[in-house]
Amino acid sequence: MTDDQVKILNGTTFMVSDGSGDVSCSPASPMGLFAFDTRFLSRWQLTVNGQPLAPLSVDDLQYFETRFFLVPGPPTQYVDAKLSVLRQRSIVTDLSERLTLINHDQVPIDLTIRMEVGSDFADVFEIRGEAVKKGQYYTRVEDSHLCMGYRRDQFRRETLVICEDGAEMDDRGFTWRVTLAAQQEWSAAVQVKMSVLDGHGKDVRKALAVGRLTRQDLESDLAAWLDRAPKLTTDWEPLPGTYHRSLVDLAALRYRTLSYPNSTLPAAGLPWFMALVGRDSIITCLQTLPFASQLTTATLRMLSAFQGTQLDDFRDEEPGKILREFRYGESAAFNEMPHSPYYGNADGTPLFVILLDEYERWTGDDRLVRDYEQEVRTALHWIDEYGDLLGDGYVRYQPRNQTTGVVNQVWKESIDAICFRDGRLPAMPRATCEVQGYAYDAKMRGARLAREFWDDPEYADRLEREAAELRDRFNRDFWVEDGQYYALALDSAGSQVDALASNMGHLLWSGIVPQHRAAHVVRHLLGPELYSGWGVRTLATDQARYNPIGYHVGAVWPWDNALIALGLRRYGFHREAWTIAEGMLEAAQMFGGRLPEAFGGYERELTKYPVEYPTASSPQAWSTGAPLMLLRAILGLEPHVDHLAVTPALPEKVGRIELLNIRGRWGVADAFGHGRPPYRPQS
Amino acid sequence: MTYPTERYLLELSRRGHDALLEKVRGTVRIDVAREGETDHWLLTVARGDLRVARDAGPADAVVSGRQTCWDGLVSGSARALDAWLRNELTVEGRFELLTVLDRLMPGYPGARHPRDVVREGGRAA
Repeated sequence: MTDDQVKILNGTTFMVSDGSGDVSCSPASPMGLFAFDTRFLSRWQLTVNGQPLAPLSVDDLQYFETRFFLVPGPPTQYVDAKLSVLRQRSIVTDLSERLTLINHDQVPIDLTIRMEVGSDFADVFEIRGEAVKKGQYYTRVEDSHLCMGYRRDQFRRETLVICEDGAEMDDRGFTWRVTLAAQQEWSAAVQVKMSVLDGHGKDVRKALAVGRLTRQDLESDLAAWLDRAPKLTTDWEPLPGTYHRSLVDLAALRYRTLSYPNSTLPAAGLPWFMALVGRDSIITCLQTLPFASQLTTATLRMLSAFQGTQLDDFRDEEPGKILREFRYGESAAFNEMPHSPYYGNADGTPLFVILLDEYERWTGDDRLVRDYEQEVRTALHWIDEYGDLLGDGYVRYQPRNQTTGVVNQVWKESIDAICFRDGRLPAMPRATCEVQGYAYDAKMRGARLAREFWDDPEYADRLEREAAELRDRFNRDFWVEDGQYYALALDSAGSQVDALASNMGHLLWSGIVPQHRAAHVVRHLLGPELYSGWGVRTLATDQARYNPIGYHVGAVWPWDNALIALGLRRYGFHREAWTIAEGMLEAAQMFGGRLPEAFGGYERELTKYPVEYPTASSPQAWSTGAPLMLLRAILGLEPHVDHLAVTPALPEKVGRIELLNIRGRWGVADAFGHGRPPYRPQS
Repeated sequence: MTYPTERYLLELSRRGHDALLEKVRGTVRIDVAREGETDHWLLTVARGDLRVARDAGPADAVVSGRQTCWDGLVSGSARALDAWLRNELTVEGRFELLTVLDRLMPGYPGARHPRDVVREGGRAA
């Protein structure tokens, strides 16, 4: 995503254009109007008297609405502009755009206002390559309508362009010819409706409750959403803007599903992952529980509904497994991609158990915990039966779908992410360290649920015993003695994959690290090889595959850091948790309050500004949630029995941070933090 | 002459209970379009208890498709959600009941336990 791109979104429906509001499509650029993993507009180019328009400014009015101020001609002619062009567009269910032209001249002008329109109906998986479509396109022109369609067997998608006010329609767009008197204004609106047609020719998007919403509904919904969230007051400058941005972006990423149209859950990230991604959704929910726990209810319900039930090699599915990703596009429909849904991930299943337990701890809502007993038991069974590929007590992964499946089925999915210190790639199946931490935590939490809610103390005992065994085994096999850190992974032979990586920071969050080892882990995490000054890098600088703009081999990921900060608090490393939070929130400030998916691992001293990863998604749900988890970490928010425990750890330079109206099992509570002289490190 | 979907549905009614469907309450009418006629089956799920009967009455969800599509689903070689995405199946009413239907279908023929795949050296099926 480049900086001059303008994005508006509403859940999984979104539009990406250039700074003039135009969409022109090349394989490399993900511009267009998208919904249901399909591009419904790949061309949307406005000209006036044959000239393209140049932007003067862009106002982001709301996440679903933006306004472009334009003038005809290339930028050099600004000063001579006698004509202003305003483009105001919004996405509620579909796209609406209003064009307004103002003649500033003293004489009348004849204008030919032309919009070139086209759709390639590309599947989101085809955007990065050259789409070779197997189906047929069709176009119909009727009075004020232009209908573009795509059909493959019975699969059908349609884009309907509707103009008001006497536009001339043709099969490539529409034209208005108007004469504007001196100082006169002209305006017209156009709508673009996207249809995902079912076997009866009905639009399935209509079944979503969002289909009945208006722009005003969205505005009041956003106001209610912000109103429901805790109120932040602070004199620490990096925080308020980022906090507000996070809440708004989370609102923007909420979407509804056909299965449960009455509740919303977070989509993973714009533009590549405007979909349900199990891991991302779970992490986002963990981040947002103290702020907006309603997202978790919908996410748990959706993930449960699609929990694996069968063995399916193509989907890397096994009974009890939580999905990796769910797509509605053509490639999923025709099994060219396995995403309807795809299950290839080793971490989503234990994380699902963790989220359900964490949800009860925050909200006190035990109904969900009782309702999902069967799902949690099945998920815990998955860990031992299907996750443990070698029978040695570790959760591993190895794709059975070797053509379209994911190779590294953990959060660091890049092909080179799981590597030895010297750069070699380990043999499959691989067991990464953080997943063992999740599995340990899932068993511990499962035990709590069994004891407190399911009246099954025997099962609880068994899970705790297994968790203790896993912890001991893990600490024996993963600990790199001569470096005093945890190996990134074990390979197929059980040998340590000895790269120094951020993954071990998650282990603190999971609690699988014995206290006496924590200081060593922390020393590495905050040491010069891993810590950039902004945050913890995915891979240490002295590792063979380190690359500051390597997606998972050097870049800094905000969500990764937020989880690490929470882990540091768990082990009493308050000052270090603050260091991470401070770096990350200062970086956020430089991104206008919106942390991207990832940014470069360059030394902070070197670049002064964090360097955005070239193709990072933004907004990205778990980056959007990261500041919230960091805020939780620095205020030390923890649910404790039936009240909210608050143990702030703020340095002196921060005067105060107040978070009011935190909803949870205690009703509504407030958290106050004041700066204190630096905490002594625990090491 | 009976056909695979019919045999599968009759077998399903004998299964009686499915623990994974204990939260589900609802009826699904399964419309199987065959040459010149449509067979209607009513699947009732109540707290995990299953009942299947020939019935053309109303239901919370009506799922319709050709016999070839249904026969693919009951053999495990096709999945309900994909079939819906391809418009080989249509759903009217409560969409989430399609997921329930998917859960009642058999696994992919020849699909393997991941441990077996590892033992066999990781070759995909």
